[in-house]
Amino acid sequence: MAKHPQQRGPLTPRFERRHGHDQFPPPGGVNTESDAASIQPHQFRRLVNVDIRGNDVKPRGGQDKLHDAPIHHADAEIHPWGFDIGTPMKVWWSGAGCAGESSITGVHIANFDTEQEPQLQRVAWYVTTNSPPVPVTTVAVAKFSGEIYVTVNDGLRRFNLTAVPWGTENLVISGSGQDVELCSFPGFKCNAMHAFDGQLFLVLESLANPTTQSKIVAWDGITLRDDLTGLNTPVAIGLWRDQLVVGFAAAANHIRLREAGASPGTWATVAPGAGTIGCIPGRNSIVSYKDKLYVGDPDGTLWSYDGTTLAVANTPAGITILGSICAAFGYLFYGYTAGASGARLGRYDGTTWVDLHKDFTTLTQVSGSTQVPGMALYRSRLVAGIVHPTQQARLALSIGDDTASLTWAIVSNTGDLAGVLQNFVVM
Amino acid sequence: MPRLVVSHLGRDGISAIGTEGKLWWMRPISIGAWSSSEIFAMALPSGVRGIRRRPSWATYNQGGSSRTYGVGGFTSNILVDEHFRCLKQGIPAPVVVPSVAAAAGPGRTGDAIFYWRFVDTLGGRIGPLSAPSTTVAMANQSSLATSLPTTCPDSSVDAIQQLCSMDGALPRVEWTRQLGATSVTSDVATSALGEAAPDDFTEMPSGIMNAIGLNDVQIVAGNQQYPERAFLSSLGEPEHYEGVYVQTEGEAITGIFTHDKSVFLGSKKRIYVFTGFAGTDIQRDVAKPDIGLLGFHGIRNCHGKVIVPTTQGIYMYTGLWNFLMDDRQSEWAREYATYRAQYEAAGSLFDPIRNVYKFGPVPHSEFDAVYVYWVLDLEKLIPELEATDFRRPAWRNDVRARLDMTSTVWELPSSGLPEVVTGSNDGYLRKDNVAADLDDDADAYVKTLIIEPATLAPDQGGSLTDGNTWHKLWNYLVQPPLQDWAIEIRAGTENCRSAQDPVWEDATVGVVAEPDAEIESVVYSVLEGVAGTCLNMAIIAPSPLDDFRWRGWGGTYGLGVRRLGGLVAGPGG
Repeated sequence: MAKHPQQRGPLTPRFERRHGHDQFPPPGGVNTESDAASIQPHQFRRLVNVDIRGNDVKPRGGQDKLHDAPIHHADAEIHPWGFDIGTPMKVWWSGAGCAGESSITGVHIANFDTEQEPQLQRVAWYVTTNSPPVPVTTVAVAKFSGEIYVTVNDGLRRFNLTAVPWGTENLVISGSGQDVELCSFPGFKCNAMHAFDGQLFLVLESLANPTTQSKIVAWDGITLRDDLTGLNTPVAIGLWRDQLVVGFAAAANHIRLREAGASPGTWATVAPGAGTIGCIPGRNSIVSYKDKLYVGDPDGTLWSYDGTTLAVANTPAGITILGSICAAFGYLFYGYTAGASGARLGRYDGTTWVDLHKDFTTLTQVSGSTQVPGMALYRSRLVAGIVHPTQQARLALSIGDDTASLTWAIVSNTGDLAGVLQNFVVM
Repeated sequence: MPRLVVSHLGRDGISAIGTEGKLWWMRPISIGAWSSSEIFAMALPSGVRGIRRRPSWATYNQGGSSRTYGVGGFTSNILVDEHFRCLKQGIPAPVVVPSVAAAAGPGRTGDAIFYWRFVDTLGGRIGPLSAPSTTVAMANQSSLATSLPTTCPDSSVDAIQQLCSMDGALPRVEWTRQLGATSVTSDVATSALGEAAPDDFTEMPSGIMNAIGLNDVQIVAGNQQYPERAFLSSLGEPEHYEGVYVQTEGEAITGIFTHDKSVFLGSKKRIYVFTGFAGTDIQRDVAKPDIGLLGFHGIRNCHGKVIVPTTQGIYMYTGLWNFLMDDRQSEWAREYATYRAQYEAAGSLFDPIRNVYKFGPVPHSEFDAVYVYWVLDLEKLIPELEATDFRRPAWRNDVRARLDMTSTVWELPSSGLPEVVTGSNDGYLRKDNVAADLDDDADAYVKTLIIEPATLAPDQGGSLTDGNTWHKLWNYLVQPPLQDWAIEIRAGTENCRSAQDPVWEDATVGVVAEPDAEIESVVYSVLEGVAGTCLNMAIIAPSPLDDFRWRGWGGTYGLGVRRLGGLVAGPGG
């Protein structure tokens, strides 16, 4: 039968229930309390899978899968939960050059955080210092009093970090202009620093007389004070048994320890009974593991100190460069170079040294990698800086504590990382 | 905001009896999907297994640490910390009596009692003290601890501390050593001893529901041995239990929620409110003497108001109790009685995108073999949102064939963009509120839209025999109907909607719009002489397009002889 929309006889009443029209109210909700003929005209007996927007009733949105295969099992019951993390936690490092800018000029500082996008962010690139312009060759990174501190050549600076919008890289919005210089130490450069006993300790290498006039200084938030002077070149710093430990270049052939609460300048000196100890510069070569102190020597030796004896603990077979050491998952890990090339990871459980725990060259994206100059435990993953002779450096992240797995995540999503990545610090 | 996912695989999915529980995390991404390789397993603590029930989580951020405390889905209370470690709540105490003797000086002088405790240095967590040592008389002597524990059942523990109480003073930290040391000699002076130990504590009793309230206290309830108790942690230490609890008058606790500074505990009989800080300061009052709280997971805080499902219907607590189910109370009571267990175990969600509260999934006697959500329109309810109909909350239903387990809201760090995600019983997470999706990701119910307005019952003529002949009706659509949809008409008495079959139905074929074509958006139907006192219309649209928008309906009818419904011969209008 043809439809006659406007046809209407004289005895044909008309009804109109058009929401929002002629004072008819917007759509109400479902009312099942009364029979359907006695509920209010703008209510409904059934409203299924709809949303109400203004005067309209429309379909609700649907669902889309968020991943390409079942989690756990195709019959698994899935319960999601959002976990609001308050204080950010990132792994920071310094490296030569700056990814996407220069592989050699200046020094950059970057970080990695699973809770930011991009995960890997360049934060600052220091090329020259002012008055007079001096090329930047050395930076150090540390956390002190809840804030990020860096040294650039002879200056101590504090980052004034601001929240970075999702999808934006820190360097893009701030560059190196987000820090404030606190003090300087002309004639020195800082090789490493570490918060300890309420102060920030910096190991400073004299530019003029590194083997006799280097020193250790302490920053208390207001004042920079000499703590120990007239030193051979201090290069590294770490903690052990409530003590601050400083490592030196091999010419010193000792380490020094400072007790918490000790008077300024009160440091113990510990020398090996045999051999010559040196220390890899930076923050990733002095580690406490199972109550013993381990020191990475650039000549490939791992030293240990139990409070009595400083001695060689292990020398991996075929090692040419020891890059970094790190305690994680109940083990001591050490990244090194075997032979002329070949970045490897060794592991020690307190009893047995396994030098070839992981061969990084078996990872497709970093095959041919040669060095592991920095490592840290970050959010239940071992993070390693990987150096390649022809490609740029990359960040490798273990899948949880399965550090021997073939599968490590390789990150370099802001262009290639530049130069050697070292001084890994989590904060 | 990292995204945590608990998965439970019941005996249906594995050959062994019991449940295999796992925990996963994935980093936040804005929109789109994860590769399965980006979903990382998070190892459960040693000895902790899954329990096949919805977990309860409570997040507590303080002092640079961010932790979320989980109960209910596991054989022990757990937490996930800022290092993305899944840990058992509560570090155990060393089980040995400290073996400490006085050794060569210099050192301390006085009567010393020693304690040991385990420490998780990465997380800054401490365990309770061990048993005390025997009293050691020291005369300017150092202490020599031997036979130190070198392992701990809790894998997060990496250090051990010795605390010393000198001459009856509080035990204070003497030294800290990484696990592995077997003996320690210490000459720390009395005045140089460190931080004092807190009051004695143990791990929180296990439970199935928790919340953070009463000024930084974790509240855990649902303990099988003491179902009437809610256990309170130490202030600011959600893992530490010092023996404080509150309780009902004997009924099992069915839910917890907080509002402002108050904590509410509900049982099947009544709802209690607790205020105060701790211990004797806590005061209990009965908030609802005769209304029971249905279940914990149905409670949801929306816009600072708490939506509370009870045995009699759903309330909103704003400081006052507002009943929200005047329009559906009988239906709620009927369905709860029919599907008691499912209603008591049901979950809920505040969906900030749709601005609705959802309760479910639950079966419903009007829907076969599917799961129903009760959906409350908050836009019409919350006064702060300029509600238009505060005194008459607007309810509707979502229906899906797939059984969902838990829904939650995820947000991006440094962004307020919310995303609603739902985990189901097929191993998948799905994003909700996807406008372009037509069928809930191939759900068997295909997201079928149903609109059934109030039955039309016009004024009658002067006689009981008067009735109506329904000639035409029209539906106002905002846009031309581009998809297939159907109209079902039932006519007759005021209860005509209950007829099994419609007296008239029409499937309207969607129009494929030509560019710039003028297509009528008012859809007319000629009813071919449908008769009856009342008229009921239902619109049914399987897999509806997002641009299907219905704004109302109208029609014409003629006075006639009263009939009980059905078709009547004669021309239309």
